Amino acid sequence: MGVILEVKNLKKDFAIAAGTLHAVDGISFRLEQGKTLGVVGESGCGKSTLGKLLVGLERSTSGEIIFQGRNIEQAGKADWKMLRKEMQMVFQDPMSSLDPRLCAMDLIAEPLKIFKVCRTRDQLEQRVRGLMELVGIAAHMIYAFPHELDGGRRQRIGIARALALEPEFIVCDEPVSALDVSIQAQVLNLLKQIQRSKGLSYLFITHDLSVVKHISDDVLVMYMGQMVEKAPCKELFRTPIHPYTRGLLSAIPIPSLRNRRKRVLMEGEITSPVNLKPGCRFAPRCPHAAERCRREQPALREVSPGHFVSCHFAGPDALPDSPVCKERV
Amino acid sequence: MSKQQRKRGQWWDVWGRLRRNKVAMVSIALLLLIILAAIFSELITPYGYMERDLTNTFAFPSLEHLFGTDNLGRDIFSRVLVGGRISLLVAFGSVLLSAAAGSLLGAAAGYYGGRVEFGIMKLTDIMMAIPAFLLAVTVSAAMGTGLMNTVVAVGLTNIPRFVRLMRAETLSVKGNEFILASRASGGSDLYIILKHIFPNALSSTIVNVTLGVGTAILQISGLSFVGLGVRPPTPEWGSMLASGRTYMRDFWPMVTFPGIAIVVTLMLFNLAGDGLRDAMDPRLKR
Repeated sequence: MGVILEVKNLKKDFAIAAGTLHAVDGISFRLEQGKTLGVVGESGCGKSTLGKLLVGLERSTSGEIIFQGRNIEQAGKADWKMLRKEMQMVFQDPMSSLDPRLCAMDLIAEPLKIFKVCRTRDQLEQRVRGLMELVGIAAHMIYAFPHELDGGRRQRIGIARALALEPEFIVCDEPVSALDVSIQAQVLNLLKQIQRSKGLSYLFITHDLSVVKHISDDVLVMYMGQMVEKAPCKELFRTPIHPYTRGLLSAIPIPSLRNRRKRVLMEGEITSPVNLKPGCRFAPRCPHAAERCRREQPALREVSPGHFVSCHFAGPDALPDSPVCKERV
Repeated sequence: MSKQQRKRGQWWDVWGRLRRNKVAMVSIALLLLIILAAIFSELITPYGYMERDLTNTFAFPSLEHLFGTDNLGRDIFSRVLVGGRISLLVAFGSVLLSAAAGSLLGAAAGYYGGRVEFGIMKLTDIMMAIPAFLLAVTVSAAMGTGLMNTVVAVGLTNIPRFVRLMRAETLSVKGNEFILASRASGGSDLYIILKHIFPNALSSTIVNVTLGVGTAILQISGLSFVGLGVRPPTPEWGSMLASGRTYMRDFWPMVTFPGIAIVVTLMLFNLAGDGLRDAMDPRLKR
């Protein structure tokens, strides 16, 4: 299958009072049609900014976003309007991403109305009903307001909105983190099922590793705006290489009393992403940090096919205990 | 069934809360009565507001002339009712003008921020620095008297309050993700302002309009009182007060009844506005 989205050295800086905040700092990846790229990282690492850049809710500082073979950074206003049809976004908090004054019908119909997809009111209603069925909301809720629905149904409306224009690519920005665990699974399965039937591509942003494991084909780990590791999902969970990834994975709780494993605890707080110093960004918190790490920034290296790591100790200079996380996660 | 479901929702809740507020309900009912009386004044009184009867001037209130007659023998009751029509018409007109202009400016300031906001807000501050009545006097002195000019004069002076309100509302609505979601769905700036920001700011604007009508009535009466608003012989509460002032010592009805009309209407608008505010935003309730 073809590549639907290619990102090259994407950067986004925000000028703030204290200096320049590098929210996204040189991210590159490719996303194939029909696949899901999971993006994980802690709060403030630039995951959401990355998502917004991709759907044009923010303009990048530099770098290229090539969507369906076109560089969308150069797209004009009219082109953007057409691009909106192809790429959509599902937001984190379905309560605040749905206008409380509109009912389900109006919420789902909004993109259709903006693009004047339907000529008559009846057509529009037909279309909305179809979408509601697709995302599994009962038809009698068509005039329900967001506050009358539970979190799962609200998020289903959010998904229906995103699907309304039949896009090719959807950025899911933590779509389940505001939901109960039982409902999370339902919504994730719904997203997967829709992906299979429509051949959609997802960029799935989350901080929840079990969610990312469930849904992704590839996983990209971000730390302070940079990509520290990217690998096919299974491989990443089996053989994580970057110390940050290892730390993240060992933080997943195992619901068993006997299976106690040694956890790689991360020390300290995330350092400020404002006016960065040279060297590896993770060095201040890294248990293996050496002199070199504080001096020079590690380059991204492909240690095995499709597995990229940005660490001085990856590949030939592997850490003594690498790959550590042999135990299944 | 579905159509009925559609109608309830937020406004239904507001009505439910408003209905329980006795003061507000009575005020609204009385206001409606006053408005209806002003509109249909010809049907209520047997006298025309211009009808002179020089044989019966300065008559004190009686069954024949409820509020008495003025210096030219005109029925004061009819004149108060017709005067109410002018006052209310000008007040509503000017408030709608200032609400429309102010809301657009305020939404633009809040939505775009930066230089647009700086420019609009500084202009607003300048306007607020000038006493409202002085501004209205200046504008109507420059444009001349008359119904339309009074509407514009009073409307202009009330723009700042709507700008500030709408800017604040826009800033708070803008922070919601549904604005981003609408943008991601292809909504233009104007679309978002009209479809998402205005509806969400509607309730506080309605309250402000209600309270603004009260202020406007007072300003119009003030303008007419100093001779800059509506010209006599067209009756208007302020100009009636002004013409009654001469006879205040010997003949009280000429100033008292238009005065009472102003005070009562103003009070009712304020009470109704307070009630509406409490009903629309229960969190604000003291």
